[in-house]
Amino acid sequence: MEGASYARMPRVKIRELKDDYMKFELRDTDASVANALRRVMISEVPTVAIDLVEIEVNSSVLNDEFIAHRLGLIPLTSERAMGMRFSRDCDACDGDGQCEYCSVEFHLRVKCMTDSTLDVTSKDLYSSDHTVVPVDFSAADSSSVETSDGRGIIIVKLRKGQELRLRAIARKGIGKDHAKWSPAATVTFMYEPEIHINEDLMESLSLEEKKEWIDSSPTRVFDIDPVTQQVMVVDPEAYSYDDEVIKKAEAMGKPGLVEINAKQDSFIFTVESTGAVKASQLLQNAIEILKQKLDAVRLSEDTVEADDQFGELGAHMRGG
Amino acid sequence: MIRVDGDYSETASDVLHIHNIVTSLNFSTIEIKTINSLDSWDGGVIVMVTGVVKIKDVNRKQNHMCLLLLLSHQESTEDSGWSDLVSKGFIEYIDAEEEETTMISMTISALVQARLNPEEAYSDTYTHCEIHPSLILGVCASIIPFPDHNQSPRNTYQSAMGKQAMGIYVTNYQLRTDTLSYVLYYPQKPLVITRAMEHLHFRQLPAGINAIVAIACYSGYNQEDSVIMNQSSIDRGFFRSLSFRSYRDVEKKMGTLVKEDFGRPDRATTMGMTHGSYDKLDDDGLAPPGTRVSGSDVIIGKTTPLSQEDAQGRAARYSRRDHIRSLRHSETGMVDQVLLTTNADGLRFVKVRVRSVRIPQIGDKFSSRHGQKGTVGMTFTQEDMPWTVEGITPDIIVNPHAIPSRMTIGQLIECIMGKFAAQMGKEGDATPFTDVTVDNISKSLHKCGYQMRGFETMYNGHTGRRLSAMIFLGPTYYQRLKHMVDDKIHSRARGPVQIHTRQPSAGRSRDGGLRFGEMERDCMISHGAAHFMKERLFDQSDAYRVHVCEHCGLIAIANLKKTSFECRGCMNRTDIVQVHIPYACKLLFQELMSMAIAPRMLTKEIQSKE
Amino acid sequence: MDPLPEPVSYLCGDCGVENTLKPGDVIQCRECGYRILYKKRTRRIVQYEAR
Repeated sequence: MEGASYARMPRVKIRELKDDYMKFELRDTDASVANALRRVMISEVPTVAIDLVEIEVNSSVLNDEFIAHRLGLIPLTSERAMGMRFSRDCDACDGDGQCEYCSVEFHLRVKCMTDSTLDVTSKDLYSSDHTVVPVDFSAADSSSVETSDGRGIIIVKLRKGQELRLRAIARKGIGKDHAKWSPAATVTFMYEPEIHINEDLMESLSLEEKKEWIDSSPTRVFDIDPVTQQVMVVDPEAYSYDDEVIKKAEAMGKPGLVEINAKQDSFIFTVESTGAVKASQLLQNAIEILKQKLDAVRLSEDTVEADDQFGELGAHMRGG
Repeated sequence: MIRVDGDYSETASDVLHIHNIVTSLNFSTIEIKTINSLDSWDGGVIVMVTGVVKIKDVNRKQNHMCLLLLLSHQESTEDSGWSDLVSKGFIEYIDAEEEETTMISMTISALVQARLNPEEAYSDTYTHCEIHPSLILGVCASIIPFPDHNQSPRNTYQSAMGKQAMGIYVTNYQLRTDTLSYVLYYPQKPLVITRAMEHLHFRQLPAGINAIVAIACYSGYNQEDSVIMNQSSIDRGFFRSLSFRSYRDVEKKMGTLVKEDFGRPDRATTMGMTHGSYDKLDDDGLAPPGTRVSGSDVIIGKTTPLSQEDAQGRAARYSRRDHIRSLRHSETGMVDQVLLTTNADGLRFVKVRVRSVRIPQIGDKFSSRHGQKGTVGMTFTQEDMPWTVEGITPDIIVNPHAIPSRMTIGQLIECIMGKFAAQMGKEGDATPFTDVTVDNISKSLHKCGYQMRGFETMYNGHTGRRLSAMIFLGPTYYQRLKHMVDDKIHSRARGPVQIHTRQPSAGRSRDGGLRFGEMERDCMISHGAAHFMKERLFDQSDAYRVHVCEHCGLIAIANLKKTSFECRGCMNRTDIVQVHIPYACKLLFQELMSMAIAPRMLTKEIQSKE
Repeated sequence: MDPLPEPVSYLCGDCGVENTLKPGDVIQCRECGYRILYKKRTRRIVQYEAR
C-alpha cells in the first residue's frame, strides 16, 4: 500500500523561555516521539568538554585524577559543537586528536602566594578559542562578581606555596559516552491531564468532606470556589498522577467522584540546560540529531534491490 | 569466702547482706561486680569490672533534682559534671552480672508514672533508670537509623559491614603509608542520623553517600540482591574512590661486607631479572611519583652483589643478583608517594605508595545501613533510567524482593524521613526508642507535596510510558564496601605449582588454581563423570610418571637419556614398568618409605614367595 | 647499575627543602637534619582522561 502516510503534524507552543530554561507544549504526536526527544536531549546532543588533561605540577590537596575528573565536568559553551568533527573522525590532525579542527586547548597556571586560601575556579581556565569557554554563571547584573554565582566553578583550593599547572584538551562528545557531555541539567515531560469531576456525586458531599477530599491530594489540584462553594480544578498540571484523590474517593464510598486521564498525545516539557547550549538551541539540536539518525536508516533505499541487505525486512517494511 | 585482691581473707555466710553493705558504701571509684551463686558454698565474689551507666537510687526523692541537673548541665564545669554525678552516686556503672540484681526502668517517664500510679505500674521495685535506652548500642550499631524497626540479625550484619565501608578513615591519610587504605572521593554526612553519631563524630568523617534509591523491578538486572546503578551518576563522581597500597623494602645486610643496594639493575651484569619493565625506575632504583605502573612493573630496584655462590657456574659477567619489588600482578595505578629513610638498624629503607582510582563497576559491593548488601548487576545511563515528572532519576535501584523476608523496615523509614529531610534542609532524627512514627513523617511528607508514603509515579526511560505501579523513591544512605571485583577477578589456565606437592599454587596473588574440593568431587561422582574427575585430579593437577620394579613394587631408577633402568634392591634392570600416578601419591610413598614402610605397587598377580 | 648514577633530588619531610642525594649518601636533610625524605614528582608530563 504505497503512499499512505500515518504521519501526524506535531505542533510546539512555547510557554516560558529563558537562556537556560524552557517550558513548552508538544501536541499531536505519540509518547514515543516525546520520549525520543527527551532521550536525545539528554544523551545525544553533542557538546564540547575537557577530555584530556596533562598535569605538569600539582601540589594541591586533591590528587591528579580527582582534578582531571572535575575539569571534565565543567560545562563549556558549545555552540560550535554541532558543526565540529569528533576527534576520532578527524583527518586533519596526526592521529592524536589535538588539532585545531577537532579540539580546543585550555591551560591553567595558578600558584597561591598569599596567606589566604586561593580558590582555583573555572575562570582561571584560559581557552585557545574564545567561542569555547567555561560557562559563566554570574547573574545579568555584573555587580555579583564576588558573590557565589559570579566566581566561577571552584576546581580546587590552594594554600600558600601550592601550585597547579596543567594543559587540557576539550573535544566534542555526547552524553551517551560520558555524562560530562550531556547539555541537559533536567529534561522531563508530563502527560497533560484531563480531569472530569462528577458533579452529581460531588453534590452528595458536605463541605467538610469536600475539603477533606481536596486535602488528600499532596499537590494543590483542586480547591473550593469561594463564590459557589463548589469543588473546582485549580491547577490541573499540578497533578502528579499519584491517584491519591481517587483512592480517597473510594475510601469515602464515592468511587468515580473524579475521572483523571492522561492525554496520550499532549505533553508538557520542561528543559533545563547546563549552560553549554541554550535551552531553545538544545531542543532544535535534538530534533536535528533525530532527523540525522532517521536519515541514516532511510538512506539504504528500501527498494527491492536493497533486499540483499535487509532480506525480508525490506519487503516487510514496504507492506508486502 | 571473701577475697581481697585475690587473696582469701574472711568468710561470711550472708552474701546478699555483704552485697548490700558494699553497694551502700557508695564507692564511686570501686566498680562492683557480683556473681551470685547462692547454691554453691562459695557464695558470691566481689570483683572489679566496669559496666553500663544507670541512674541510681531511684527511691530517693532527690533523684528528680539530680536528673534535671544532668540534663541541663555541660560536662566542662568542674562542679557538677559527669564525675561529680558519679561520685555522688546519681550515676552508677553496672555490669552484666550485677544487672541481674537490678530493676531498671527504660524511660524517666515510665519511672514517674510508676511512682504516681503504683497500681498500674509495671513494677514497684525499680532500682535504676536508663539515661537513654539507645545507649545499649555500641559504636557500630549506633550508626544504624531506626534499628528498633529492623529484624535483629540485620542490625548485626550492618554492625560488621560498617567496618568495611569506605570513607575518610583518618584526616592525615596523605601522610601515612598504610599497606591498604581506601578513601571516598565525595563522602556525605547522612541525611538521617542517630543522636549517638554526634559523639562518634561520624558527620565529620562520614563513610557513604546519600543515594537516591528506587525500590523497583526494572529490567531484572537487580535480582538476588544485586543492584542497578545509574552510570551517569557514576560519571559525575558517585561513589568514586581511591585505593592506596604501600610497598616497602630494606637494604638488608647479609654479612659484614655484603649489602643490598637500591638502584636500577643492568641486564648485562645482573642475573635473575624478571621480564617486567625496569624503565620506570630512576637512577636511584625508585619510580618517581606520577609514574603510571601496572602488572609486574618494577617499582623498587634492588640488587645484591654475588658472592662465590654455586651459581657461579653461569657466565662470569654476572656480578649482581636481582632482588626487586614489583607491583602485584593484578593491579595498576600511579605511584603516589615515595619515602626514603633509615630504619632502626641504620639500614636504608624505602616505602612506595601506589594509588588507583576505583570507579564503581559491575561486581563492586555496596550496602545500605540495614544489612542490605549487594553488588552492582548492571549500570544504566540516565536516559534509560525510570524518571519522575520532576525529572529525577534514581542512583540505585534495589529489588523489592530484598525487603519482605529480611524485614528491614528501618531502611524504608530512613528513606521516607530522608525525603522529608532533604526537602526541609534539616537532618532527620532516627535515634531508636524515640517518639518518631511513620504516620508523622508521612503527614509531613504530604505537606511537602509528595505522596505521603514515599511513592512516586515514574515513567519508563526506554518508552516514555507510565509505569503501572508506583515506585518507592527517596534518599537512602549507602556505603561502598571494600570488596571490589577488580581485586578478586582471577583466572588461570596453567601456572605456578607448589614445590613440595607439585600441585597448583593457591591464591590469586600466587596466580593459583581454584580448588576442586570434596563436594565438587561428590558432584562428579553423582554424574558418573569419571574421566572428567580423573582429568581434574590428575592431568590438570600433579600428573607424574614413575618407573616401578616388578619384583619389589618400589620406585626404580630410570635414566631416559641413556634408556637405562635399574632397581638397586632387586638387582633388576629389565623387569621395570612405568606407571602414571599423581605426584602427591609419589610423595606419600616416599614419605612412607622414609619411615620403613614399603608401599609396593604390584603390577602383576602376587607371586607367593615360597 | 649505571656507571655514573645521577644524583636524584628529594624533599625533606619536615622543612620541604630540596636535597640532592647520591646512591651511597646518608639519608638526612641538609638543613634541618630530618631523616625522612620524599621523592619529587616526575618531570614527565602525565596524561589523564578527564572521565
